[in-house]
Amino acid sequence: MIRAERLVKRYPGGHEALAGISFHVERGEMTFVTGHSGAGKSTLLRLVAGLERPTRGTLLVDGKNMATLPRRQLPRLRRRMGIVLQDPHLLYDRSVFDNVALPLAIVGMRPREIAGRVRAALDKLGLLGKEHLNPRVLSGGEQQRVGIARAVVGKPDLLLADEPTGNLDPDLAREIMDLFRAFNEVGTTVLIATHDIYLIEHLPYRRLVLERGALRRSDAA
Amino acid sequence: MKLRLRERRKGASPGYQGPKRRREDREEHRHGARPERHGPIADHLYAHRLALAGGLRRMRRSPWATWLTILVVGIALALPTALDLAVDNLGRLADDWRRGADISLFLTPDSDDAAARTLAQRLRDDPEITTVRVITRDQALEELRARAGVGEALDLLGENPLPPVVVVTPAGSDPTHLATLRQRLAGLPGVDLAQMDTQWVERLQALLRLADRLATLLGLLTAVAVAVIVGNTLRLEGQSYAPELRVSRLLGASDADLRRPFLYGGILYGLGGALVAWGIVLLGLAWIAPAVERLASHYPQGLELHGPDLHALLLLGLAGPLLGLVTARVVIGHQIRELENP
Repeated sequence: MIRAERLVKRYPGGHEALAGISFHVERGEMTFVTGHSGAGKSTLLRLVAGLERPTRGTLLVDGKNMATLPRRQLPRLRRRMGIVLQDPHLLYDRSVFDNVALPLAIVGMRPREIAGRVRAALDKLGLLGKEHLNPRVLSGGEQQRVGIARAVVGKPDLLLADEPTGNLDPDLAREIMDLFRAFNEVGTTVLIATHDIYLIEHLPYRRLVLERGALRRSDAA
Repeated sequence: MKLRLRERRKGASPGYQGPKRRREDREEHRHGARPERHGPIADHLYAHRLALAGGLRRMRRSPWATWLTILVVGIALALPTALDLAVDNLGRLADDWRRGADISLFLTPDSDDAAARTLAQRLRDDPEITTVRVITRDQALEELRARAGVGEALDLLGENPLPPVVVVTPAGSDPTHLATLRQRLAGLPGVDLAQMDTQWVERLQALLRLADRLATLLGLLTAVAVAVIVGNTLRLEGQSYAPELRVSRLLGASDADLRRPFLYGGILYGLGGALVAWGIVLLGLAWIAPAVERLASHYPQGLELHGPDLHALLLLGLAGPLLGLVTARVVIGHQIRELENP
C-alpha cells in the first residue's frame, strides 16, 4: 500500500525533515510511526496524504507515485483515505453532524444514506448525544474524536492518523486505538504517528522509529 | 472477472443468504465511502443541484454584499442597454424624417415660373414621385425675406435673384433609391441643383453611428466593470470560505467540486444584475414616456417610443450570467490553486 525508497523531504531553507528513508507497508497492515517530536513523523504522514510532495526518492501510495501524481488525480486517492491531523481542522460554522457528514457529501452520497452512516460513526466515538452541537463548545478531546469520526465515516482503505490520541485521557486513548484496530481487522491499512510509546508498547504491530529524519529501526512487535 | 462475480451474485437464489451476506458486510465495511448507485447522470445533476443550493446559501449568508453587488451589476448593465435603446429610437426617428424628406429642384437662374410649371406638369406623371409643388420666384423671395430676416439686404438688390423651385415628394424611402432619384432629377434640362432636404438628418445619422460605436465601447467597458465587481465579491467569499475549501480538499474534493458553488454564485450575480438592469430600463422608459408623448404632439408623423426588443433582453439575460460564470471561473480557479494545505 505504501512503499518508500530513499525518501527525502527538504523544506525551503534547507531543513531536512526526512533524510532518505525506505520502508514498505503492506495492504491491510497496521503500522506505528514513532519518534521524538521533530523526528519527521508528521512530515511522513503529510507526504503519504499528498499534502506535500517528496523532494527526492520514491513514495508509492496504492501504486501511485506521490512525487509525480498529477494534482487532478489526488482527489480520487484522497477519497480512499481517512486522514486525522493533530489539529482536527473542524468547521465551526456547522454542527458536529455536518462536520462528520462532509466526506460523504463530497462523494455525492444522498442525505438519507449519510444520516445513518454519520450516526454510526458518531456512536463508535461516543459522540452520539453531541451531533447537533457546534464543535466549538466541545472539549479538545471531543473535537479530536469528531475529527476521527470524520476520517472513518467513509470507511477508507487507508487510515492515516497523526497523534490521534494526543488530547485524550488514557482510557479514551485506548478505546480509540481499539477502534483503529477494528478497522484494521476488516482490511483497512492503518498508519499512525504517535510518541505515546506506553500506549502502543503491548500492541502487536510493527513500529517505524524515526530519529531526526532517518529510520532508526523498523521493529516487528 | 469482477463482472462475472457480480453476475453470479445477482443470479444467486434469494433463499440462500449465507456467504452472500458475509461478502456484503465486508463490502460495506471496506468500500463504504462509495455511495449508492444512482447512475452518472443522476450523480452529476445532484452535484449541480447541491452547488446551486450552496451558491444561494452563500449569497444569503451576506445579504448586504449580495444585494449591493447585484444592484451595481444591474446599474452597470443598464447603462449601455439604455444608450443602445436611445440610439435605436433616434435612428428610427431619423429614418421617419428622412422618409418624409422632399427633393427641391432649383431651376437655372434664367428660368421663369412658366418653365417651373411645365416641369412640374411633367413630373406629376413620374411613378417615383407622389406630389409636386411649385415655388414661384416671388414666393421664394417672400419665404427668404420672412425666414432669414435679410429683408433690407434683399431690397438693395432691386431685382429678384432667386430661381423658381419645384419641390417633389418621392414615393419610396430607401436611401440609395432616393439618391438615384435625386441624381436623375438633377440631370433634367433646366434644373440647376437638386437638393434633398435631408442633410441634417444625414448628419444626425452620422452622429448616431458614432453614438452606436460609443455604446459598443461602453458595453465592453461595462463587461470589464461587471467582471471586476463580481470578481471582487467572489474573491472575498472565497477568502471567507478558505477553511471549508481546505478541509474539503483534504477529504477528497476535486478543484471542480470546490469551484462549482462559486460558479453558480457568479451566474446568479450576473442573472440578478441582468434582471435589475431590465427593471431599470423598463422603469426608465415608463418614466420618460409621458414626455415623449408631449413631444410627439409637435410632430405630424408622430413619435413612438420603442422599448428593448426580445433580442436585446435575451442578450442581456445571457451576457450577465455568462460574464459572472467566466469571472467566477477565473477568480475562484486562481484562489483554489493558491490554497494551502491544512
